[in-house]
Amino acid sequence: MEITLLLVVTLVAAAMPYLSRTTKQIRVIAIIGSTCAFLLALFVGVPALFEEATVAGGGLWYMDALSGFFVLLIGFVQWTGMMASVSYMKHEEEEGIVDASKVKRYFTLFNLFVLAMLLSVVSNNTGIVWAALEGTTLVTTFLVGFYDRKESLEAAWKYLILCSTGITFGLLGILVMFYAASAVGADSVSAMSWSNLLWMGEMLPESIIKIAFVLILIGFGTKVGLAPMHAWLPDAHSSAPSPISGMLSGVLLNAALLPILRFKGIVDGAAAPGWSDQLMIAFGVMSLVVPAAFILIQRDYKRLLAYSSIEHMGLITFSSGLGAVGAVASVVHIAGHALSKSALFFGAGNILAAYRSTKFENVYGVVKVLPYTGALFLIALLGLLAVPPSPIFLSEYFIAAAAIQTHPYALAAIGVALAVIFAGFLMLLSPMLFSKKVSAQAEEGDGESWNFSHTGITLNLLVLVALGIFVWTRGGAEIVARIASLL
Amino acid sequence: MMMQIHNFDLPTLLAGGMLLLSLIMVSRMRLASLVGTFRYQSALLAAYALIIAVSHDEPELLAAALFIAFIKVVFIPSFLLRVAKKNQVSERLESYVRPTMSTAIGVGAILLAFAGARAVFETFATEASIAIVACVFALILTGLILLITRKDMFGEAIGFLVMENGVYAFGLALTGGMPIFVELAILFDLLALTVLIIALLRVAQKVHSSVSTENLRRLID
Repeated sequence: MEITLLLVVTLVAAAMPYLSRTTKQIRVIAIIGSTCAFLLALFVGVPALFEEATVAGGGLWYMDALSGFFVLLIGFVQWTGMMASVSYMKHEEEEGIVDASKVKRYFTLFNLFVLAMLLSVVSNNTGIVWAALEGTTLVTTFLVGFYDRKESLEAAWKYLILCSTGITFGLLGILVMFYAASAVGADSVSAMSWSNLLWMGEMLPESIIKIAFVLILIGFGTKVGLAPMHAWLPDAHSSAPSPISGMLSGVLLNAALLPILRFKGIVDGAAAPGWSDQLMIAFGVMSLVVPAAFILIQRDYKRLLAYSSIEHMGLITFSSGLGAVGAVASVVHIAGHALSKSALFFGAGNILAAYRSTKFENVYGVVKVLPYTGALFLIALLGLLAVPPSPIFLSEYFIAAAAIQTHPYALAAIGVALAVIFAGFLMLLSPMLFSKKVSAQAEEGDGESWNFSHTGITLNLLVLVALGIFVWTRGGAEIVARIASLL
Repeated sequence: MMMQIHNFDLPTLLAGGMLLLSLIMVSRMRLASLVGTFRYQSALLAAYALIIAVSHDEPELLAAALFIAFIKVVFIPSFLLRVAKKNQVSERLESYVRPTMSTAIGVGAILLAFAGARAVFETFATEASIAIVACVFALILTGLILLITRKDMFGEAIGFLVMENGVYAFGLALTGGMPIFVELAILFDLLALTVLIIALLRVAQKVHSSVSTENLRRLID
């Protein structure tokens, strides 16, 4: 019931911009709608963390600790993302970059995007999960192509065609899985339901579901941005309006990873243990090594953050192939990356607004010009680079601990890649943040006043730090272990 | 397991027909003829769904066949052609390879699909004949070839749609159709995708006065 209500609230919020008159009304209503959605997400997600898996809404929704965790993540980041959006769009409108019709379009698409993501994590039907994830591609293509620039068109087209083609292989995989479940006697609705598939694992014919899993990994892996299917990601994530970039990198990539992780559980029930782990490890290592090379040559801070998302999805994928300890690391890393990366993108939105450029060559002395944004950006950056008490410190520590005995060579490759990425981040972002020289473009502004986006980023960082401490406590460890046991 | 290789029943003929049409499409360099051929292929797909619906006695699938007919045969091709005409998009399409070459690649892909299907057929104990499974694999591959070799937005879009037809036919051949609400959700996505493609085509025609993807190569590193 609460789940249906959550989805309906988001849908209504999506319609509201077209029923409001002024853009101020749109913004106020958007914040109210988003806050309602966040509260409902708490209502749906928190109990799910402690309860057994349930099928709700007449068989439509499947809730376990894992979907609860994702609902909480989406619910929270969309809330802070909406705060960032409100000040971002207000500024864009004042500058005359967007007009009222674009503001309307933005807030409607924002809510539809959240709706599609929520649907993909709570739906019980694998076909609907696929349709919802493809839906996120469709909705966000409009947002990637939001500004009528040549680059936006190119990014949007690449995103649409590459992601849709990739995820079509995921549909093929789902069909093969559907066939496998039908072959052992499930009827057509239950052969596509998580609630059935998750316990049917052992009964399914091994050779068929292995084919299915490879297709699903490639298909949904394209949407996750795993190398070598990542070509669309840096373009799309850097072309979208910054708050949307934050949600794309922070939560959508994880939402696309969820079906892979669930199907992995099904395959592990049937195939020899370790078969799927090897695939996850291979894709994980590739997704770490490839962006490491590209991060060093970036000239654009939004692209830098986008490449870093590929790297972090690689880490999560890698750790999900490392057994029980790796699963704990995956869960912690998903939350840590979602919170810090979205905070960084929201901050990047403020920097872009002040400097009107995303190129490093034009952006100097952020801490001086934008003291609030600069400080928050720095904290989020340290969180992303796994400085304690960031939860990412814990997850990377666990990954190293889990991999050192079983996969030393892969771990060595990852260690090198992480060191390169760390160096690249410091090399590129230190002048941007700390340079004494200040860009001419930004000097015109007179100081920075606290706005909604700062509140959003601060909330993200508070939860990030709180989480980093909470996972070390007994209660926190228990909850994480509950979620990880479902991977 | 029966190996029905030489089986010329109606479903096999339809699958073969779809494949033949995509082989023709691979070499078509005019917009109207490419979209027109896609229309015939979708009509065969709808007919295929219809036959499965009747032979399996599944009224749900009948509805799905109707939706395919409406969306893929009527709506998408007409919409694409109308937008092309309205925005004065060039009739000539562009490709990285010459038509003879792309046909040769297409034939190669089909041979590959037939060889692969034999191996896969051992695993899939499906009632569809091996010829049908091979045809739908080849259909997906030719769609991919179209998608990769073309360098204009129309060609890429049609390539994607052909691939989608292949995946759909695969679903029908293997499982006799998914639950109707899933089919509808997928078709709805396809519809939205088409609208989006058209929106982007319009922007491209406005910004670059061309739908060639040669103009879309500024983002590289």
